[in-house]
Amino acid sequence: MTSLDKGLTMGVDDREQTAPAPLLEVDDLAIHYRSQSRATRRMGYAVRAVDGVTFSVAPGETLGLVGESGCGKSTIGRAVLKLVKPTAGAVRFDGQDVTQARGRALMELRRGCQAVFQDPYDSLNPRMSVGALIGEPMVVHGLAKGDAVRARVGELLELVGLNADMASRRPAELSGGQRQRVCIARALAVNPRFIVCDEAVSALDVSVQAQILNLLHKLQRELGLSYLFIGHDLSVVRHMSDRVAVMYIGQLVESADVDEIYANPYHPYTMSLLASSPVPDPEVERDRPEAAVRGEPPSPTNIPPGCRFAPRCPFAQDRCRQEAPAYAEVEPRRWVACHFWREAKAASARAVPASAAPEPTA
Amino acid sequence: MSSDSQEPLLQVRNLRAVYDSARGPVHALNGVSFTVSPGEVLALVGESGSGKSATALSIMALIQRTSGRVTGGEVRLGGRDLLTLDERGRRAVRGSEIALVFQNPMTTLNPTRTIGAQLREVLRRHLPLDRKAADARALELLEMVEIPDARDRLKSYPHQLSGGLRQRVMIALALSCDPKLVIADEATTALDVTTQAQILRLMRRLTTESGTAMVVITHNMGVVAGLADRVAVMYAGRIVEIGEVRDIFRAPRHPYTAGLLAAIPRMDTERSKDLVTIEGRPPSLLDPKPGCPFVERCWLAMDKCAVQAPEPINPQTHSAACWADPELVRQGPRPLSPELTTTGAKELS
Repeated sequence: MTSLDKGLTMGVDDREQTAPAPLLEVDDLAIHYRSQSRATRRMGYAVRAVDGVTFSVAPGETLGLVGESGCGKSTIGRAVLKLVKPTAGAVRFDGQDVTQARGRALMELRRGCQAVFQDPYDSLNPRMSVGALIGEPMVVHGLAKGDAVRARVGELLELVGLNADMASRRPAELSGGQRQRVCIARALAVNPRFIVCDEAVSALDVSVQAQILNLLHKLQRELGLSYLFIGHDLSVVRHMSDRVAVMYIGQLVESADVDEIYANPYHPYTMSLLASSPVPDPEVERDRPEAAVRGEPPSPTNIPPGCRFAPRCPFAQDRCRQEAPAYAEVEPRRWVACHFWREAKAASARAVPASAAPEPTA
Repeated sequence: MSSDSQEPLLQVRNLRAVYDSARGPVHALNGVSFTVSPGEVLALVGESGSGKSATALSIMALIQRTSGRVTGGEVRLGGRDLLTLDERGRRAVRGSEIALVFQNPMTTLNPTRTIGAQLREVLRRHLPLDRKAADARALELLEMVEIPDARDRLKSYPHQLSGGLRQRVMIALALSCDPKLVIADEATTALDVTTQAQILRLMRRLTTESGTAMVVITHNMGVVAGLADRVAVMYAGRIVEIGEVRDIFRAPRHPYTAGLLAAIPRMDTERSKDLVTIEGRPPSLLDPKPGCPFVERCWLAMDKCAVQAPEPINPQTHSAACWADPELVRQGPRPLSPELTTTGAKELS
């Protein structure tokens, strides 16, 4: 997506210009859950699902959010949608505090910010027709009535690449790809400016996934949407995003413009994620060096002191095990939480892991 | 790793299977043929419903425990036809000669018994070991799959282990009786990327060391690229292309394979361009039509394709079941026609 296409985004060319006011701002967000077990609760244990996360998304921009399961990326998405209550910190949508929104303000927020989830089988009421599913949000928000709803449903179906006569069908009659298109049409029904895509293509087959990704791109071009694109497939997230933030056990460890972070990761965890992602090319895969990271992420109930990645990090020193690094903007538009990012960066520039650099495919 | 001179270990010939459904029999497998040599890793790839898992269940003679049954063909392992064995014979084969690794280790492991007890049970059922020897072998197996503190882990229950460790235990169970063939059905799909990379490396090392052959079922082409020696691409219950992994990725011969590979976003795909898509959806398997099953979605379809099924693949070489000129396939996917844009407007026409 070029900056021309999207008008409002900060592409490479206009980076010098002043940034537009962000549409979404997340500021030092924390979401802690109490432990399920009474014994551990008494000991003061909590699941720190999200722990001090800060980022912003500009109008028309896509921020990719990657990380492994349980790292808290979906919880961030739910906080943005006001589906969970933050323990601390702020979420501002278009300048309004989401966490305090009630009544009218909350309705406004819901109109502005919609979601598409992973499983189109779970997200659609099987007893409702496609038309009723897409029309419902318009009626709830008082945007249209009667025939106007029906006409708009037809328009939305065509917009997402389905025939208008599908309005009479039920979800059970649709394929996975068609259901996801219905979910997208339903999200678009209230003319939102922002969509949280939480693993929106992860359950789909490859050929269908490509169709939905193309559709999301098209809608962004035509409607100027912003996306928070949550995913675990690094190639898919790269394809969709202008900027990418990498998350590890409740915290952001790095964020940067998409080409920068993929070509030049500064955080050792970003490096190991890139080095671990399977690449659909036998030549690359067979030459892949030994797995760059050992072990598995620790549980968010039992977070190590200091840097959370230190127990698995090849660059870790004593300081990392004692003192948590701050998440700071170390270069323009590049945020990193690592004491030794300079050393890591230098080492990775020397080694160039197999999949960190874009690989030519024949 | 594959070698032409070797007698194949597994020979699947013209395998057919159906599932019963409320709307009639679903023809899940329509003449599947392939071979696996000793020590070879064959990947079965394809999208949901293409018949990958039905193939695995038929080989293991487990399909009749679902709503399915095998209706024709042969599955020969070391010269014996597994489909003609009685249940007793099949049980002897399962576990000791063929082993399965499934996607979700939490549902395959018994939550009420320790890892050690479960390993011991499998070992003693298939091998003449006393309790002590079985314990020693169990420890050896956990060490082989690189589980840290293996001795303590024998006393652990499945819920005390992480997803990656559980999948390592599943692999240890599968390899416990030195099977000749391991079938791994989406074995790393539920794992995180960094864990998946570790498990794949482990599987690769173990098959190389022990000479165990493997059939890997996956929809992830990255996993295929890293693990497989040969690849069989399935579509609508058939193998539409088979060949060495490098040939399949470099020079696919079936339009479906070419489309599938082109639809994957890559680290060097131009982001401003739309991804290549395969329009439409697979045909209904309720009443298979004559001709090629891919005809309605194929950009190279000819009149002949709709009426006459192409020659089935030859499992010994790189071959595709397709009438089209291989040179045209190599030129890469094109949209079906100008009005069919990448938004899939005609997905349900």
